[in-house]
Amino acid sequence: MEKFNLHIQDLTWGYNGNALLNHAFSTQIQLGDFVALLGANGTGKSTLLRVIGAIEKPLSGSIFSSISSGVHPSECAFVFAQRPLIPYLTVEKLVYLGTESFLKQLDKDPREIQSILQKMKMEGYEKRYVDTLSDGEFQKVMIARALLQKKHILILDEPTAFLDYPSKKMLFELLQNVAREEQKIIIMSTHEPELAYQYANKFWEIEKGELQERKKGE
Amino acid sequence: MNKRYPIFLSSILLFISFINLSIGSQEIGFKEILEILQNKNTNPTWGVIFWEYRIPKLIAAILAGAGLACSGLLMQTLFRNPLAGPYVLGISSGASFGVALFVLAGSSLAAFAMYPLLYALGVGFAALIGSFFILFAMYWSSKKLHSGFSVLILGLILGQILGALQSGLSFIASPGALKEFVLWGMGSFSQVSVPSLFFMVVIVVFSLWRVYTLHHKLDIYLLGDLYAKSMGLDLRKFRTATILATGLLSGVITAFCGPIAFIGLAVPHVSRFLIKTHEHKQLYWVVLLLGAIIAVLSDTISHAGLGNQVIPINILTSILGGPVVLWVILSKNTKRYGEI
Repeated sequence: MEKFNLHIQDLTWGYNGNALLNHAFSTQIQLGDFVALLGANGTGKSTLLRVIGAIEKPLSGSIFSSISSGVHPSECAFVFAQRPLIPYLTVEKLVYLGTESFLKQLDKDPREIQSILQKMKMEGYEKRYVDTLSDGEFQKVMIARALLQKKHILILDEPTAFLDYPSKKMLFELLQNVAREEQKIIIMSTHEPELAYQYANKFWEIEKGELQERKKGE
Repeated sequence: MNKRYPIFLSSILLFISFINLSIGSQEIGFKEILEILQNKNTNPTWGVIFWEYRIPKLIAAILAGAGLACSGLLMQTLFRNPLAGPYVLGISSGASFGVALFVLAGSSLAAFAMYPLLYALGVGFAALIGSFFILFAMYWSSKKLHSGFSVLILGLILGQILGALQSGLSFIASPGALKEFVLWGMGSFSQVSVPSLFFMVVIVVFSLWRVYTLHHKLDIYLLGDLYAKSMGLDLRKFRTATILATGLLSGVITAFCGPIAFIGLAVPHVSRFLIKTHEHKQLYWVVLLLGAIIAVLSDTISHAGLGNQVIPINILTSILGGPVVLWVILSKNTKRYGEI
């Protein structure tokens, strides 16, 4: 089987036909890449992530992977900044919600959920109600949930926004490991340049309508 | 999955149904009921009362309770608001207004007097049109208003306006039509004629089945629009299906049983509290059974109360359901939904 990689070709994005960049963007991302998307608020980071994840349509250009002609939302797992509040929902069930086996109505595998929570340093939280978690703990659960979906691409929109510094650092470290060891593509927007430069290996910096791509060490 | 609750609730429902069948102006004992069911009874009057009055009334109560509770659950998920329900959001007022227009203005047509089925269909459609009208208006405005309380206030105001229009209509109506409408407004399961009951069974069963097929989408939807979209949920299709099922359920039930208060709002809360989960697949059966139990129980009390007098259902459902709503507003549980 050919190795999975993601191609972005002549992509523009924005609202009501107005592109947010002055130029079209093309690049290629391989499995194991950890891309940090940096830029001020309002520069279109979230829109770009949604376009890559096929939740929104691009203005022009295309995104495709080496195994399919277009990217479908079902090829990506997401983590957003918003925190949905749901009564009477346990961590275990939230992690399971929306996975392949959930949608096919199969029983969940508690060991699998346990091992993923362990990776997030959230062991022992299985039976906790989600609304009793801190914002940081909640985000870790959502990342565990994204991992359990076993997609090639993980898209994270400012997942560290509400975390304290140690949790932020832990999260970056963890995502670096996930990208390398589990061979995932991770694309994450963040306002933490120092941590991003330390742990990611590709950087997309949006400034004044320009997107610059740099690799680690350049 | 915890199967104890559905089994436990089913047996309660069965038990209350027996009491319900037995109680009324003419008391029929359990032994006689069993005889009638086995076609061995010796009292033909009881047979008539049983088959033509009590059984249709029981079926209507079960369908109405289950259907209203289910439509309340759908609304609470769709609006992501714990205080949503067919009565509170003005859906019942919309249906009432539709029926008022039909009964007070249209029923004088001779054709309706001659064909009861046509009349039943007319009432049904009038209620459906009214409830869908309000449901869409509420849904559209809930996307503009950010606070859950604004949506509720809007529902109250819409209900008040429709109530005023209704009063206006009743002012000019004939005494016969007015009496019929006032009785309908108090809520009752015994007014459902056999053709109406048939219509109700078809629509309620179809809608309930449709809701069951949506259960995992309802779970996903609770995570919020973005997460739902990212899991490939077609929001427009999903919302249309949910609104359609909700409107069909509350519309058709209101048409034939009157605007029944609080079952739709209160039952989903009690169910979540009982089984401590938000999962629609599990909630579904508990909500349906509990709704049916409350409706049959209310109907039983209403017939057991004051000799030959029947207490209007709405008085009982309000007494049973009102405190639950207060509990929702005042308790810490509301925090589980975030700011409303």
